[in-house]
Amino acid sequence: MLYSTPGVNRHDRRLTEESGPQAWLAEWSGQLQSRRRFLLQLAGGSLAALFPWTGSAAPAPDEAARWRVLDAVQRHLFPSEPKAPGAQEIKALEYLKFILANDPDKTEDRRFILRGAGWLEDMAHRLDRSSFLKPDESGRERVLREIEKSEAGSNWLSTILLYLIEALLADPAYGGNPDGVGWRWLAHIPGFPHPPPGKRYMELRRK
Amino acid sequence: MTNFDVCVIGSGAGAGPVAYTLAQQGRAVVVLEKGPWFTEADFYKDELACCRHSVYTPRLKNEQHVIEELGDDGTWLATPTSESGWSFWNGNCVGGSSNFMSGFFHRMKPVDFRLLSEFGPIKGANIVDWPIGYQDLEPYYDRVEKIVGVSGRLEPHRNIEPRSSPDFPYPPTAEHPVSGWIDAACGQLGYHALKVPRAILSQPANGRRSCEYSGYCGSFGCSSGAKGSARAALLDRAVASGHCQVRPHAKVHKLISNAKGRVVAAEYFDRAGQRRRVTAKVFVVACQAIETARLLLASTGPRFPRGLANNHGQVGRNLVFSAGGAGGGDLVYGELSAARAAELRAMGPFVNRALDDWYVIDDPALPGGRAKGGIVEFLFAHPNPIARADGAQRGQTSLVWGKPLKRLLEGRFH
Ligand SMILES: Cc1cc2nc3c(=O)[nH]c(=O)nc-3n(C[C@H](O)[C@H](O)[C@H](O)COP(=O)(O)OP(=O)(O)OC[C@H]3O[C@@H](n4cnc5c(N)ncnc54)[C@H](O)[C@@H]3O)c2cc1C
Ligand code: SF4
Repeated sequence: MLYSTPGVNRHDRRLTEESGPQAWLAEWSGQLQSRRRFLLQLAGGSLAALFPWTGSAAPAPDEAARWRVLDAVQRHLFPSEPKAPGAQEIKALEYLKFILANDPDKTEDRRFILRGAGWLEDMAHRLDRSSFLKPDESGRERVLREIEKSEAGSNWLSTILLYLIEALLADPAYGGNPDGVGWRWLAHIPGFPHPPPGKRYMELRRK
Repeated sequence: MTNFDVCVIGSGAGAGPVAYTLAQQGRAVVVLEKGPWFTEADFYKDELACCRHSVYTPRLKNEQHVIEELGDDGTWLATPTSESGWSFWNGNCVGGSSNFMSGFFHRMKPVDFRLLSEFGPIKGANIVDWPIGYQDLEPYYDRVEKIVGVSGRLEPHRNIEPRSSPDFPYPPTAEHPVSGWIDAACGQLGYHALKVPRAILSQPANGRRSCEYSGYCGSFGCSSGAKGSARAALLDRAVASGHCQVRPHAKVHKLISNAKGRVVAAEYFDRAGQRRRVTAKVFVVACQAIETARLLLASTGPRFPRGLANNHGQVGRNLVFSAGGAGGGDLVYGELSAARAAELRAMGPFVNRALDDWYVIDDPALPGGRAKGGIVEFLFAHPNPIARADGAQRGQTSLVWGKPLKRLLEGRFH
């Protein structure tokens, strides 16, 4: 009940010319965040404990290595196809990096995402005795489905997926969706005018 | 500290007409608005800014409300919005929520002022008739339509309310081809499709441009000035008169009243967190329903131990909602002729159709045989693409990704 308004269910919400309280749209990210906070509480406030990480299977990857893992995860979750753009074409990694670096509200997301990448590497080493970067598509699928079984892992994957969808469909000003490639794929007609640098959401907040 | 004739707190749809009218009459007016002052040059069709991040509203972690909900077991459950993510802010910047409205501009009808005498009491509710009637407000509706700039065409209609002007001041906004389909269908069904007036300029006026038909109107700020927000239509002109100043980032936290019970000052925090004061002869509180009540309740004084105007304990009670529901269906391109499909794809013009055939419902099955109904508006789904796509990744039992996710997305958009 907490996330719904009487008489207006999730599906109906799409049917209004105005999007209503913005929380309806931010609903899923709101739930993800609060679920994560809850998990954090259970884990005694430590992100490290959120991921059941033995840390023993392989040396902890540095930040550059974590970004490489994230790149591979994004490409697996959103593969390139001849007629449909994938993570690479929509510049999903650039989008993610831009948002995490420029929105001060996302420091927690940044830590969570990078931490999760390290944890995923550890899981890959335990399951396959190799980095997540090594195995083929079915091997990666197996590792990701394995981490999805834990609540933290599924939360982490949901977060990555949400950023992928944003990279696909947000304005190119944020680093993803170059030349509107995501909009074109889905035959979506964007509105005008587009936000120029200096007028992006994190910049408008300083007004 | 400056002294003003009038201090208006809040700058939205309630505040705008007051500030405008008094400034036009030469009174010294100050408007205190807690949010920033965005202009046409700050509004873009950016889903992240309008709808996915707190840009026009405070961050919930900084300024939360607490929502109490009745649980299935009959107990009340209180959850701060910082935890639920369920925002009760609508637009906190100069012009308030009216910056983001869709501009559907219906008047109330005479029957709305007499709900008790027309429809009888409702058990558990303390419904009363208004102390004024429609005819008392009609001249003001008329002025608002002219000054704010309402576009439409008045057509004879079953439920039409009495009007002193023969038509709206501006011709209707451009209409979507689907409006014609609705007219035809309603004609066949014996319903009376009504042309919806919009507070959107169909022609340039008063330094505001005409609508640009972006297709992204409700929930978005307007970059042309066509949308009749309190800011574009009223406050900009009030400021231009030289008699009104607007102070953004001025969050009023208390109204100071004296021993006689008169409000003498408003105290606010500016952007730097400095406490400041404004004195005036008259104060107008127009912070929207919830925040107006909050400010009054927080403003205790020698004559108002329970908050301003609250000696009868009524402030913050008797909230009246305009309740709504939504239903919908899909028009499937594959089932339409090529010509109709092409019409449907048009993006930008407004549907502008509604039904008020059930404004009052006469039905013997109802208690008393009669009930207050409302208006049925026809709308397209909101075009925001991230909102449309989001959710495809959540399957019944597990997350969906890879090619299956991409096929689902294609299904949602085509
Ligand atoms: C997306 C959307 C679409 C809408 N579409 C329509 C429509 O089509 N037709 C229609 O008729 N209505 C529509 N509405 C509703 C309409 O916009 C509101 O009913 C109207 O703006 C309310 O006016 P108000 O003055 O009470 O509040 P607001 O316009 O919200 O203004 C209140 C202002 O007070 C400020 N404030 C609050 N507290 C303080 C404080 N302590 N100190 C200083 N300032 C303060 C706020 O920041 C805000 O700017 C829509 C609303 C939204 C959000
Ligand atoms: S230009 Fe027209 S469609 Fe666009 S926001 Fe303004 S009023 Fe709405």
